[in-house]
Amino acid sequence: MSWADIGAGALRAALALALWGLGAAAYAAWKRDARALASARLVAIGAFGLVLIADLAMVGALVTHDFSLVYVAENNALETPLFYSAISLWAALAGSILLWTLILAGAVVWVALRGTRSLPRLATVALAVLFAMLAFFLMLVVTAAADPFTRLAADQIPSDGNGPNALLQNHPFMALHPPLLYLGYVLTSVPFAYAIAALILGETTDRWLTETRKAALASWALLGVGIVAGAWWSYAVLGWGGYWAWDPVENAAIMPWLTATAYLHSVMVEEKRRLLRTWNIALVIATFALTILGTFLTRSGVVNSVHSFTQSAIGPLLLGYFVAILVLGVGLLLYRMDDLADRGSVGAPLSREAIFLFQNVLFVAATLTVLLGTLYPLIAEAVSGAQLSIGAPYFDRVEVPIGLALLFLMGIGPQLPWHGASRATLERQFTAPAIAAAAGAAVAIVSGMTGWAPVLTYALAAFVTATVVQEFVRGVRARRTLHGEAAPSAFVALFRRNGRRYGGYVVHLGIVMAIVAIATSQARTTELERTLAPGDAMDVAGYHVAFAGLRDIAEPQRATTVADLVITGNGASAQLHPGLVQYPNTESAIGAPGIAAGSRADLYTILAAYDGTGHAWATIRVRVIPLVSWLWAGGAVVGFGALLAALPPPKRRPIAVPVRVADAVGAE
Amino acid sequence: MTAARWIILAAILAVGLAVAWTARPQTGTAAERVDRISAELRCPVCQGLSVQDSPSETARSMRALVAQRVAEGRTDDEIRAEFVRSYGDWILLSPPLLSPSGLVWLVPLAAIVLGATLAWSRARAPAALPVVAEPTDAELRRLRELLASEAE
Amino acid sequence: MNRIARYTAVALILGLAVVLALAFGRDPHDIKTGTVGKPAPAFALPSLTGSTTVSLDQYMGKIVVLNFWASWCLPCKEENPALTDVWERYRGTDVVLIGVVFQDSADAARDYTARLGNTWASAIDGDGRMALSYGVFGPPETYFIGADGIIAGRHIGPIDEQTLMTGIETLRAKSATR
Repeated sequence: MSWADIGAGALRAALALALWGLGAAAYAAWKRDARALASARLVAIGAFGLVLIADLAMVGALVTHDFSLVYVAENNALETPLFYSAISLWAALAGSILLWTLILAGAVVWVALRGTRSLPRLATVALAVLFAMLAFFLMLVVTAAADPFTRLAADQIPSDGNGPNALLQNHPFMALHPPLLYLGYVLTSVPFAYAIAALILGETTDRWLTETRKAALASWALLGVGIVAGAWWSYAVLGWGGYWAWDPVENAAIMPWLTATAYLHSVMVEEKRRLLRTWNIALVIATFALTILGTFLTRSGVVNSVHSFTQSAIGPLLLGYFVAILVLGVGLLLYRMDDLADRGSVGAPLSREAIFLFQNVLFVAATLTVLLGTLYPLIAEAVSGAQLSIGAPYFDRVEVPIGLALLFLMGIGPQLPWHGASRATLERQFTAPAIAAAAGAAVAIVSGMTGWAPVLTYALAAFVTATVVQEFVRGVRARRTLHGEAAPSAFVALFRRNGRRYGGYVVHLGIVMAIVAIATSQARTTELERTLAPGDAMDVAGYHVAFAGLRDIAEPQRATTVADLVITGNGASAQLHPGLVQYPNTESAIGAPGIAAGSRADLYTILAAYDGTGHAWATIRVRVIPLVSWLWAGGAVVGFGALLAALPPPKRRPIAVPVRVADAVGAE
Repeated sequence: MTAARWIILAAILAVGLAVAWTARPQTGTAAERVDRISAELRCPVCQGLSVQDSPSETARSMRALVAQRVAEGRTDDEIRAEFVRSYGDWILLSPPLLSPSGLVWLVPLAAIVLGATLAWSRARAPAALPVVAEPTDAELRRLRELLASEAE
Repeated sequence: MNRIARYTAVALILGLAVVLALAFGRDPHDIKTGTVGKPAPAFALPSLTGSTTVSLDQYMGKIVVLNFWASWCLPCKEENPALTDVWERYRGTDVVLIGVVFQDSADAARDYTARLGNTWASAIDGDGRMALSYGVFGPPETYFIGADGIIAGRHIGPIDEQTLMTGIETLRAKSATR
């Protein structure tokens, strides 16, 4: 039996199971039939197992170089190293969809086993919705649209394959960035399925919100970390010294992250004040729909992007899926709108819920801007035939002010009480942060920042940091007085007692780090390009870069020419080897930058051109990029903060002292 | 006025002055002008990168041409127009405000203004209405028991 | 309010779907250039073979086929037989074929023409300015310039004999009727 037989067979069986699961879950919800539910649970596990087998079969085919499969012949070569062979599962369209399907099957299992126990009826409907999605993706991989197991005719099987896309086999980060993003994308389908279930059942409580809180948080965090990992990948691989280009596919990833961020905040208004219910469901639907739109843009080839694959039959199917989701979600929401109307009102403009509302407006506007900017060239060409571009200058000009306004609100919101704030509260909360903001602006000016945006960024970053530090200091102080704990254990106890709040603050600090890194690296990068002979040197921003010579490195899967550089100055002492890599399946060589990362600045070197005949000269481009490593660190801090926020609250002892009652129901 | 309020106002003023100081109109050096213009031109051989960011040969010659035109004393508009003549509007990464595509600037602005107005009007609605009485502790305990029993 | 929300939602979803569906018919690599239909930018560049200068002026009144190429460009090699055939066919008529070396060293380019036996003139666009003035994206790219000095058309990517002939004959017919 070949890999193709195993994989294709498993996928077909999984499709049958998914359809069965869909029917069983729908029947179980309709008739409240326990036996049907039990069978849906079993089917979920079975479908997951089968999809796992199919994924493993594909990995098996890749690592054993089974070129009888079109996918393997196109994305693998005999010389491809084992590691890159294995992760080529997501190097192209059909394999990516296979991975996507696996994650979705995992989500189905989670809802089937865990969800249906805590909220039986609601989760059963959600399970049916998820089974329907799973069936759709399985249908994609068993039909010609994205069949990863399509076979070549016996006389067409090549002796060697084409190898993976050069850019995708040049850096180990390829193992991390796509799976993280896919996890984030797919997990948004859990809150969506619950929201649809709540709408179908006419559920008026917020239980589905609490039930899906962790899935929403996890998908948000994974998307965020995946986006940062992608930025790091493009920084380390694409060789232009940047990490974000507002590429359509980057935009596709950031849009659901923006709406998910809005949701994570506005959902607190619903939990605390039972307001904004329609709005929250709309955000859940929008987030999920945007992940599908992103997949559509990536996979159908309608936009020109580093990431887009060639046109395939999958485009119309994904478009149909996207429209179906919107019609279903928006239709149900409009149908139930009257039942979901708020029975209360938001507090004064200076209350926490009002700040969340303004924050939501800005996040949605930011999303709309990205969506419009990405699609506008398509719209313009469809309407008038005009070809135009929308790129970084447009997005920067619109998104930077929005981002700064959001940074400001990030400092304000958590400091305000619900309902409204008195003048005394405002003074108590904002005196120290205001001083910090002025200090931040001073630091920016003294360190020579030009332009209003970086200066304001520094001021606001200091402002937010001060509010967070103030919160921690007050929290620790309160615990020391109340419980007599020592400062370190009081600090840890803050996270254990209220991980969501204090984990949230850690997330905010991570975002501040990332924003400071972006502002500084954008504003203060210095660059120099020189053509050097071996033995020559160049000086950039205090670094001395000596060019020792060129070297050719032959590896089975590629040929590389590297420039040997010796770096001194600014306390650095490093050897860098930027190179140009030639893969047999790519016309032109791709750059492999040499990077000396530092906490203050990265030295980023590129071999731009060289003398191929005599190795007599090389053109070296050197960029000194300050604080850029803080961006990756900020991403890690955000992920860590999200983990803290997901910590389960401690089990309360059944005998509660009266003063703890308010605490126990979650009031502050 | 309390001391705290004075401090807050002074800090806001200081940040405002710093931002205003850095936002003052500056002519900029020739190199800064080259950077600024190149950042708005799309590199023809890249995937959406600007001429400023792209390491490609084509971007290099475009930067050189921009630098020469700046040195010749052409205005930014004239330099941009020269590239538009060869490559069409496609070459500009940011559509001009006064063009049919100016729409892309107006939509985000309209969304923010409209959204903020809506949010503001809701936030100003009387907040003190005792719409739903907060449940008492006893009620909450009963509620939690009910929830717990349903979950089983 | 509700009715407005409903209509807006329907309109937005429909609009989005239509735009995305229309986008299928579009090839993201098919980019129109700004110079088609406009007077061809003048140029005077050193020729590949020696000390002479190749300029557009010297071919005034002729139909000029301008082909941008480089020795490192694989599709250029692919289209070379078509260029050779067309060059031989129209040699000495009112049609000239001019090559323009794009981002390549003179040595490599000379080596390439010698190896392939190309006999038509090529100019070296050392600093890439001439390619920029025509709006070139990358080699191979072919421009058809009429006797009136207007760029009548452009082809991106390797060109075949049929396309070359059609481009040339259309221009010939046009100048004959004038």
